[in-house]
Amino acid sequence: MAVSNFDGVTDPTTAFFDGLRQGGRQPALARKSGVVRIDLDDNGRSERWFVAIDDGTVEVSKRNQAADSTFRLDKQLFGRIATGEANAVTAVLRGEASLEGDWNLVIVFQRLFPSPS
Amino acid sequence: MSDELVQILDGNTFVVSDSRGDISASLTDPTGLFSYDTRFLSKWILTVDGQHLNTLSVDDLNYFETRFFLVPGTGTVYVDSKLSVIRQRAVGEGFEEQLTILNHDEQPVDLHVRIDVASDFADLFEVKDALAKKGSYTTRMDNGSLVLAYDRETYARWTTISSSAPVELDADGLSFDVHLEPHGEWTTDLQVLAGGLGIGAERRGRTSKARDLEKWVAEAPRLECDWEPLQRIYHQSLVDLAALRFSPPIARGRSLPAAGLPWFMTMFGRDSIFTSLQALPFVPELAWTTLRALGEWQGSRRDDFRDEDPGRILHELRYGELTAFEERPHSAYYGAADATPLFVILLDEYERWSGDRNLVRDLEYEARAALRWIDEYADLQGNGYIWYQRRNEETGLENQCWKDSWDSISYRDGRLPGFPRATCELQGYAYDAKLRGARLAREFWKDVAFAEELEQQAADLKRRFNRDFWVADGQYYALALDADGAQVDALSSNNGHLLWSGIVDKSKAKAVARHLLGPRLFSGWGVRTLAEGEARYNPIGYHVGTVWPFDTSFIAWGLRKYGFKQEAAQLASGILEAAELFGGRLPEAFGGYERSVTKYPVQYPTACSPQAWSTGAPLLLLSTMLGLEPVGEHLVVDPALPAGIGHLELLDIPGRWGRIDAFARGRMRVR
Repeated sequence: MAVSNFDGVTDPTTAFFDGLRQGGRQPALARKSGVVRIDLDDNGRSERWFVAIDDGTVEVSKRNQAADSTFRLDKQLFGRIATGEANAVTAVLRGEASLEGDWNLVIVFQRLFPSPS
Repeated sequence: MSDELVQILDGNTFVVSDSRGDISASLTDPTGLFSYDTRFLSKWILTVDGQHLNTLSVDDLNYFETRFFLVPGTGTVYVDSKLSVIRQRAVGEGFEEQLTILNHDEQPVDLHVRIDVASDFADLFEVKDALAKKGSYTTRMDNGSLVLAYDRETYARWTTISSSAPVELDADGLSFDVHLEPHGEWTTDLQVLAGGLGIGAERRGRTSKARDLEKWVAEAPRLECDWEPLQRIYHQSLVDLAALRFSPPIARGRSLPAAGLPWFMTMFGRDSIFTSLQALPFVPELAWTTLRALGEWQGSRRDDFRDEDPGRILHELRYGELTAFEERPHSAYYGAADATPLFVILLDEYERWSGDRNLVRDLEYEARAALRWIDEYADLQGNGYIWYQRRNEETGLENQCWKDSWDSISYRDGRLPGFPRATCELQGYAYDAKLRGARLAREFWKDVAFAEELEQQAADLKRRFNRDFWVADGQYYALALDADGAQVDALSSNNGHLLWSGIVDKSKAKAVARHLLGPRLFSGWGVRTLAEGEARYNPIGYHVGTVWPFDTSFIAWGLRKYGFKQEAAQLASGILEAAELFGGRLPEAFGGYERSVTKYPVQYPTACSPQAWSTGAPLLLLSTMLGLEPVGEHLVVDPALPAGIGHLELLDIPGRWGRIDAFARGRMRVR
């Protein structure tokens, strides 16, 4: 279910995760496994997502669980990454986003982000 | 400042200083402490009582450790000092330097010891291209340490300097008031830490590095040979490969080869793949990590800034400020047209040696995506060839093949073709990748239909290639096709890569081999990148006449594949003899002058050294001379030695057979 904000525009983060939920198997993540935790800062409120990858299947959840890597950033920025407007790697290099744990998992996870518009 | 630079390195952290151990860098000068493509120290100058020091000797203890023996300057040619100064320096997360001063006098002495420090936090690209900075600098004292910092928005990098002995800090450096008794000694441990990386790789401590190097050399095959220089060259290659390894955050503690010091201490698709191929019979771990890392970073989007396509293997990855702010596209940059087919070639070759089926299965998606890239994204003209043309017109690469300088691809008469361009070796790699991909599909992915499709495409490509690229009046393959499909008809070393790929028609191989060993291409040391007589030929032109040892090593492999054993041995002998004259370490490139004219090979002025694929060249030449070839579960040895080598043994070659020995006796007479 897509969540809309007051303007009726879908929040890109929620849209991204909804897309993942409904997208079915992700061939680009075949033979990859692990849990990516995404910590978002939404104007001081924290929002937490978990994406469990298991040989191409992805399970999106907000339920707390152990993660192999944690990607931490501003929600606005994540929204721009999720729509292909911004880049995750340069965000980390600039210090706008941080990455803990298993890097390779997040690098592979990037395959789910769309091409720049 | 002395001319001789001293460098120590560990992965992508390295220190380049003068022979006194001082660093005094201008913006365009590649000296300093560098880590992750950023300079963390641009000034590090030691004085005693205001005087600079003179060098007595420099001991290279290890690739990551060095020691400077110094005396205070006297201003005369005579050194008659009552003091000795020793700086022992090792690379770590920055570097550690133990500074020791010895008083040889009967009298006590009081000294003012000073180290001036500064950092410009230059991105390596800024050093290379002399660009100005956009952020701000601060200096502060923090817990007895001096912290130099650079900030630009959220981007922060800092250098922390501390001393074990009491020290007085100011914004420009460290001061020590030292009292030495007669025959007394004073010492301090200085630590310089590079901070704010956010991307830190696992680092090894100094002792574990030394142990690790011993283990690295011990685990590689042992070489026995009656030509003594080869032992030294072989050892140097192993040590330099160890030095150039780095463990990017995604390599799971394993290492892959960085391309070369000082500009290229990072992951390059092409360089890492070629080096891994050269080193397969010696240190197969490099191939495993290279395949994993390049697989994980494989392109998935269509991104013009990065010249990225789905399935494309990266060209270059950087961590510096310009990359962070997207002023340069290296996060990662994908503008290489060869890395993608080479990725499939390495995967297949790695399995043939190692028997590691798991990796072939793990990388099935990536290998298929790479094969798909060849047909769907690289065929810019829609005629079944790999073409390249950058989409990032501002900071992308014009030439996306290994000869990537602006003038490397030319017609005989010196004209440069427009874009897109289809260089010949790319088609060879595509052919080889398709055939190897077919083997992987049949044997491991159980997809016979895909295997047959690939084999049919390969056969078709070979037929068309031999028709479209063959320069009939010259009896060789054109360097490229231009956008109109016309031949870019210069004679070049690329012909040798075609032999390696197998795309050369048997009936044409002899003519190609004759060119490669002929007077226009063969200098006596190796194969010139561009043949003498072509309009742009220049014996010291980067890709238009110099000899690249890596290039010649693959050409030798190609000659072997077509049965030209003696010719391969001759190239091996030329490059190895050049290596001997370079003191055991081959530079990236050297002059294409005729051997009989210069007697000594002439180093290319700004060549990188050590450079990974030059370091790998002696290794590939060794396996070429021994004729090593995995066949099924066995290693076939079919040696052909050049004159001058009477016997050659390579013991404990690792592979799917466990460990095996290869022996060779010299029978060939080459010269």
